[in-house]
Amino acid sequence: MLEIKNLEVQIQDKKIIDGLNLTINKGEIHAIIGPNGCGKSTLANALVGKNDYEAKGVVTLSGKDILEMEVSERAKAGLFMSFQSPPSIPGITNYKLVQHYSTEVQKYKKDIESLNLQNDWASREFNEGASGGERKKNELLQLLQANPKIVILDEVDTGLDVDALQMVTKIVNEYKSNYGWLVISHNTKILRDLNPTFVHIIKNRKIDETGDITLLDRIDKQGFTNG
Amino acid sequence: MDNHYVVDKALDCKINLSEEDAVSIDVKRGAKACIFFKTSKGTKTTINVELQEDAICEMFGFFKNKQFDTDIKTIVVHKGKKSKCNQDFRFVNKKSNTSFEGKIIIPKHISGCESHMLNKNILLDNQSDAFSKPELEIHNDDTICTHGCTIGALDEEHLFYLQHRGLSYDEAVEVLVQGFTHGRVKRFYD
Repeated sequence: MLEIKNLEVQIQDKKIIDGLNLTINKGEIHAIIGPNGCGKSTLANALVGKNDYEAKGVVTLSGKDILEMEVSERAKAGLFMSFQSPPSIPGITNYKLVQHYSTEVQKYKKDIESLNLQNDWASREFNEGASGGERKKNELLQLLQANPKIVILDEVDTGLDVDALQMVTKIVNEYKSNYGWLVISHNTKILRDLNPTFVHIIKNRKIDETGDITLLDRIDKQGFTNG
Repeated sequence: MDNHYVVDKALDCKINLSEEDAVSIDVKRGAKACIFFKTSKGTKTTINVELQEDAICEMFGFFKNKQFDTDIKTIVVHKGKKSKCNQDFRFVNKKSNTSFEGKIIIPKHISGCESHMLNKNILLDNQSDAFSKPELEIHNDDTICTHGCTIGALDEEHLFYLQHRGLSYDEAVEVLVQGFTHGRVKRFYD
């Protein structure tokens, strides 16, 4: 579904990713792990089309080339990223921002309840006064309304307590078969909880090694350097 | 035009400012005034406010300036003890130049007053300017007084976030401008 071929990403003349290949199919969870600064978040940002990230190579989503698309077009094509630090935006309510995805109010209300968000969440200003955990839950809430093809969870565990982490794990397990998943973290525990189909280590600006969940055990024992 | 308002009890209104305008508001003892200013073509206006004892005046002006200039001067004189004033003027400028000059005067023998002044500006392009000049003449120590000013562009991270949620660039700008001009205002009374 998402095919990345020979991806190169540059930020201000500095090459961060060089020759990265990855294919993600529906129902697969791909865990991306690597040391700080190896380019994990750069990969996510380049895929969704963030400014300043100059990407070359071929990236197709259901056969459509997305690198030429605007940010909003990529989102509409089915790419959804859960942000590492979601912002708060005054002047727009939580519900208003999901309305262009879906107008199924009943589903929205049900999802608010199952994510343990407050009853008045829909009418509150977007993430205003919300804790880190509530903001991450709001990302998941939007994900469930957007119903995309590919989900990118960037540093999914940042700012989350144990309960909120369990919530993320529950959502990923429940909706695993609906989407293709790209999960970025440097925390082997959260990745193990998500039970990934594949684990990829990014090193030397590309995917250096691919394996199954047992690769996480080796990283825990030996770190990244001995890979 | 010259608009003169004498407020004995309470006034809650919107005033549409013409291109050359002057507004004076005299808030009598214990009275309350709440005024929202608007303009459709830009304006050059001076607003004079006089507050008697225990009087309250709140003034809000949220202007979307598109190819026209807005120039607002306010002069707020606390003539009576324990009078309160709150001013909040926000400008969003697209190919526009704006100026806000606000003056608060609290004389020596007038105690227990509270006065706030806020001016925020968003510049949507390189052809726009915003000028802001707060002036506080406070001669009494028993006073609560604040002023604040911001001038800047829209937050790039917010723009990117909204676009990634499927809004076009223009729609994302519209949402952020809406939030800037319709965001919660601080009121003495709701």
